[in-house]
Amino acid sequence: MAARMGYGPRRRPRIRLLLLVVTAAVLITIDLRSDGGVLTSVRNAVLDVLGPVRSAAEWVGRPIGDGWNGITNYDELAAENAELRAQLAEIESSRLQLAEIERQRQELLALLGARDTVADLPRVTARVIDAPVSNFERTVELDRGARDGVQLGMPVETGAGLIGRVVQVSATRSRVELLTDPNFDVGVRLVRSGDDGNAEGQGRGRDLEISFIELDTVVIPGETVVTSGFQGSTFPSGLLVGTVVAVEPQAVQATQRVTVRPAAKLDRLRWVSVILFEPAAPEPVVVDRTPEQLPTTTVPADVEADEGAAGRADTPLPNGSATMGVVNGSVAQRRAGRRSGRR
Amino acid sequence: MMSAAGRVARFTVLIGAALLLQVSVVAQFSVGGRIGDLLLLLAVSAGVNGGPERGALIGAACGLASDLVVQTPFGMSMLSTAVIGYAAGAASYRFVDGGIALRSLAVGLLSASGVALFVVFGWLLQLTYVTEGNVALVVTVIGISSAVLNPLVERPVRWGLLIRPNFAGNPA
Repeated sequence: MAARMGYGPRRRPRIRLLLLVVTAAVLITIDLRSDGGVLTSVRNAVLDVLGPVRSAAEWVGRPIGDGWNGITNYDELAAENAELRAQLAEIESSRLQLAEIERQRQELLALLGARDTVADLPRVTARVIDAPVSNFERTVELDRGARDGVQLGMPVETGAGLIGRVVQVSATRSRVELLTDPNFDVGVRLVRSGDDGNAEGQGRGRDLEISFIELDTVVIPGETVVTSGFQGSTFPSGLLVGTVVAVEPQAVQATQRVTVRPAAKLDRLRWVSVILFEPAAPEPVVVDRTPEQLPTTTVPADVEADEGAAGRADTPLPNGSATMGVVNGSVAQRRAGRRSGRR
Repeated sequence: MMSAAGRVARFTVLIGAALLLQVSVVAQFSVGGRIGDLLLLLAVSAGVNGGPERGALIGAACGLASDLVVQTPFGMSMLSTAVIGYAAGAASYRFVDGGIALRSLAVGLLSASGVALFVVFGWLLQLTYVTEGNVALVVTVIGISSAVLNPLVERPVRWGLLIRPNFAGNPA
C-alpha cells in the first residue's frame, strides 16, 4: 500500500484516465471515419508478423485444442457426428443423379456456346486459421494474402457454396467477412423464378434474408439461390449461396421476405477457396461536357421569345444548367455502379 | 532505481508476451467457442497490484495491443481496458491485502466487468457483431479464466511494475 502513497496528487490518475479516454475516442473516430489508411496498414503489418506464430501454434496446438474441444463440446460433437452420417447417406444416394444432371448441363452449355464461368475461374486454396483472437470476431483468417493473388472483395467458397468475401488483405494473410455478417450483402437470383434480389446477413448463426421480392413471384421453400453477378458486382454469377427455407409476405410493402439458409457450413471451416475474380469494368459513363463542347442551336428571336427562359435541354446556358440532364444521368450511373459494386 | 526507459521496456516485454500468448496459445482453448482474454487480465492485475494510475496506463497499452489484432474499431479495446484497469486500481484497497484466492476472485469479477463494458461500448457504436453473440457466456468464460490464471499472472505483473511482495506474499 505504501508504494501507492507516492503517486502524487489524488487527481492525477483521474486526469490521466481522462486523457487516455479522449485518446481512445479520437482513435475510434479516426478508424470509423477513414476508409483504410494508416491504422489498416498497421493492422495488416501485425497480421503478417503474427501470422507465422499463429500458424505454428495452431500446428502444435491443434491436437491439444481438438482434445480440449472434444471434452468441452462432447455433446455437440456427438450430435454433429450423427447429423453428418445421415447427410453422408443422403449424399451417397444423390451422387449418381448429380453426375447425370452435370452431364446434361455441360451438354446444354456446349449447345448454347456458353462457358461455365464459375467453374473456369482461377482459385487459391487457403487454410482457415481456426483460432479466434477475441470473442468478437466477425471474420475468419486465411493463410493466403496479396502474394497469392488475393485481393479485397474477392469471393470465398467451400465446395458447398459461398462463405463470404475478403475484407482485409496483407502480404501473406487475409480475412474473410462471412455471409451471415450484418454488413454483408450480395446480389442473388432465385433459380426457379429467375427473380433478382439482395441477400443480407442477419448475424452469426442466422439465415440470410432477401427483401423486396414482389408479391406475385412464386417462391418455394427449397428453391436454390445463386449469386446474380450483375455487371460491376464483386461476385461472379452462378455461385451457390443457399436454399430458401421460409417465405413471409409483407402486406404493407406489397413484397415478400425470403429467408435463405447458407449452403456452406460456416462453423469449423478448415479449407476454403478464394475465387480470383475481378469484376468486369463497368460500362463507359457519359463524360460530363462543358457548355463550350455542347452543340449550339441558333434560335430565331421570335421563337426565343415564345419559348421564354425555359429553353431547350440541349441549349447551353451561361451557368451550364443545360448539362444537368447529362450530369445527373452520369451521377446516377456512378451511384448505381457503386451500389452494385458492393454486391 | 530503474530508469523510465527500463520500466517501459519491462512493460513492453510483458505486453508483447501477453499478446503472443493470446493469439497463439489462449486462442486454442475455447469453451463453447469463447476464449479467455490475457490482455484484459494483465490490465486488471496491474490495477489491482499497482493502483488506478498504473492500471489505467497498462490497461490502455494492453487495449492498444489488442486493437492491433481484432476487428472492432481501433481504440475500443483501449478505452474499455483503460477504464477497467483504473477501476480495478481504485477498488483494490478492499482486497489487495487479502489472500491470493480473494484477489483472484476480484480479478475474475473485474475482468467480467471489463468485457461487459466492452459490449456496452459496442452497443453504443451499434456494432451488432459485438452485442449479438452469447454475451453472458463470453462474460462467464472471461471471468472464470481470469480468476484461474491470476495466480500465474501476478508474479510477471509485479516484475513489470517493480512491485516487491511483503512478507505475507502480498503486493507491498
